[in-house]
Amino acid sequence: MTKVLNLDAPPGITALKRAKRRRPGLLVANAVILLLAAMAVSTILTNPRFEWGTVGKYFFEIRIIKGIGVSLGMTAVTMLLSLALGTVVALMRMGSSRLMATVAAAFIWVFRSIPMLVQLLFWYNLAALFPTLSLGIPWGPRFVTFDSNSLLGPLTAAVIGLTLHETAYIAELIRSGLLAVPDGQRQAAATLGLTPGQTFFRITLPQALRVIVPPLGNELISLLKATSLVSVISLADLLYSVQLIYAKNFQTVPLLIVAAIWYMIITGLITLLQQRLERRLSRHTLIPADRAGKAKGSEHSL
Amino acid sequence: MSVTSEENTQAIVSLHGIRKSFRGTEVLHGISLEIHRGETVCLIGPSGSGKSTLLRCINHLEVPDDGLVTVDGSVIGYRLSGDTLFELGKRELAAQRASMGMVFQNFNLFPHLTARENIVHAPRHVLGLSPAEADARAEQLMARVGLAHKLDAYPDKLSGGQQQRVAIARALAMRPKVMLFDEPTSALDPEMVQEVLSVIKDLAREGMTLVVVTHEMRFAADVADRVVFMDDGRVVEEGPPERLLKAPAHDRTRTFLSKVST
Ligand SMILES: Nc1ncnc2c1ncn2[C@@H]1O[C@H](COP(=O)(O)OP(=O)(O)OP(=O)(O)O)[C@@H](O)[C@H]1O
Ligand SMILES: [Mg+2]
Repeated sequence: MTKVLNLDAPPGITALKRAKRRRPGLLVANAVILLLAAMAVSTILTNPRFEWGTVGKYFFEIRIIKGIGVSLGMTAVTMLLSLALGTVVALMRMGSSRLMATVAAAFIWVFRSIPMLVQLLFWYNLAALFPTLSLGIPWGPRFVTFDSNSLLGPLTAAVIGLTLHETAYIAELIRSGLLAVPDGQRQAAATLGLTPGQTFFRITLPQALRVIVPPLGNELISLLKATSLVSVISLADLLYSVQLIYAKNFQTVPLLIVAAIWYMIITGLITLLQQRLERRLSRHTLIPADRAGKAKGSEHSL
Repeated sequence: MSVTSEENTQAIVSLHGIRKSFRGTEVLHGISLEIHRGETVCLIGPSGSGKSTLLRCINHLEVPDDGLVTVDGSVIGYRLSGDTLFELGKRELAAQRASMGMVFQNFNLFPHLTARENIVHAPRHVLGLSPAEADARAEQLMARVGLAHKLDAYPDKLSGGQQQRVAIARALAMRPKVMLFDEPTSALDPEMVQEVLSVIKDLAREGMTLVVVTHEMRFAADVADRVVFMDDGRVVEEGPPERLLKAPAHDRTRTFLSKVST
């Protein structure tokens, strides 16, 4: 039966050994997972139809590298524009002007509801709606007039479509981040004589970023993948470049694997960056975890 | 303490007929009050009587619906030109606010900045002090509130009492003409109340103009030159603490004091 532990008797409590609790269920589960993983890897590596030789041959092909450049470029430009515009829309939505708030809410509703693909096709075909675009005084004289088709090439159409869509999402992210900063912070800043601009950039935004960054990383990853949709308007991004190649040599699967691996690599890098940024931002902030969690939706921080 | 010297009899803050409503309910019914240079005024009254709202009207954190606030001769929130008051822009109002320090119940330190950064921020970016000048101010003020060793600590590493003392130092760094305190010890654990009150007491002794909303009757008795009792959006009575706290003239004051007396 259980021995009565006498702490005073030698060899004393420090000499007692500890044994970890056994978890046979976990051992079995781990074994099953390892087995399944090994099977998956071996199938992928040994099935000749994956054509790993072809994958290797095209992996650093110049058209593919250029396509990656286009995808990354579009992602970066769209993200920067959307961050700037999204901040403006979020501030309009939260501001004291009823009109601005309504306009911002309408903007968010419209561009979040229209599927990305529909928007891309729409902007690409804008020339059908407005054959010419002009700069001038509203209802007055026009100074310059452009031919829509030449102005709105596929790249411009793509960036506009992606940016409007992304702006709507990012505006909501930024708004939830700003709402997570307690009002007392703005009041304290105001009593110190900070202007609204100083308060926003130096007090509110840095604290809101902690809430905004994790979902923003996901947004960036979604955006990178969403750029693959531009292949429908024949813009030579990573996916379209791959499609152009396999349309000629019929090596469809290996080339799609090339694209997939590149998307995985870039997403992995973004994730790493996101984690480092989050770790830096999560220090020293008093936004309670539950408030931050609510604003982030289903996201959970590190 | 009594107000004696010529200069001290001047009102530095005056409130004229302040009215304020929230969603159609008036919570301040035309309050007038003068606060003299170097004076310590304690605002007391039941919960919901409008003490915080009145205090926040002084620096226009709440903009009064009617009435005027003047601080050291200038009308807060407006520019007087001829016989018209022009509403100030946000930057001009910010400049006016810089001359009034405020300390909140929940400290409201900036959590992403260290104590030092909390203190130097406004002197650097609002007053335009050099980093060295602002730093010197921070060091001197942190020593004054007894926290010289916590200069580079983040707020989440400080106790409530320490945070509140940093908040006081932060407000003082702007060299304000008047300091406004809204229940500065109400969010503190009992053992930390005294460390904060003694800092405020020192300020009063040094001649700073203080308006303190408080539930600490002993502190009011100890430090106030004048106590103002508010109820239901009105000033019911005011007077030196010896009289008002010991022999109130109104029933409502008496009822309130009997509830809070310790
Ligand atoms: N921002 C606001 N919106 C709506 N009503 C408010 C607001 N601020 C204050 N009130 C109302 O105004 C009245 C006065 O509130 P105030 O906070 O000034 O009272 P107080 O005397 O400071 O009370 P306490 O001792 O509880 O702090 C209360 O009825 C309160 O509900
Ligand atoms: Mg209050």
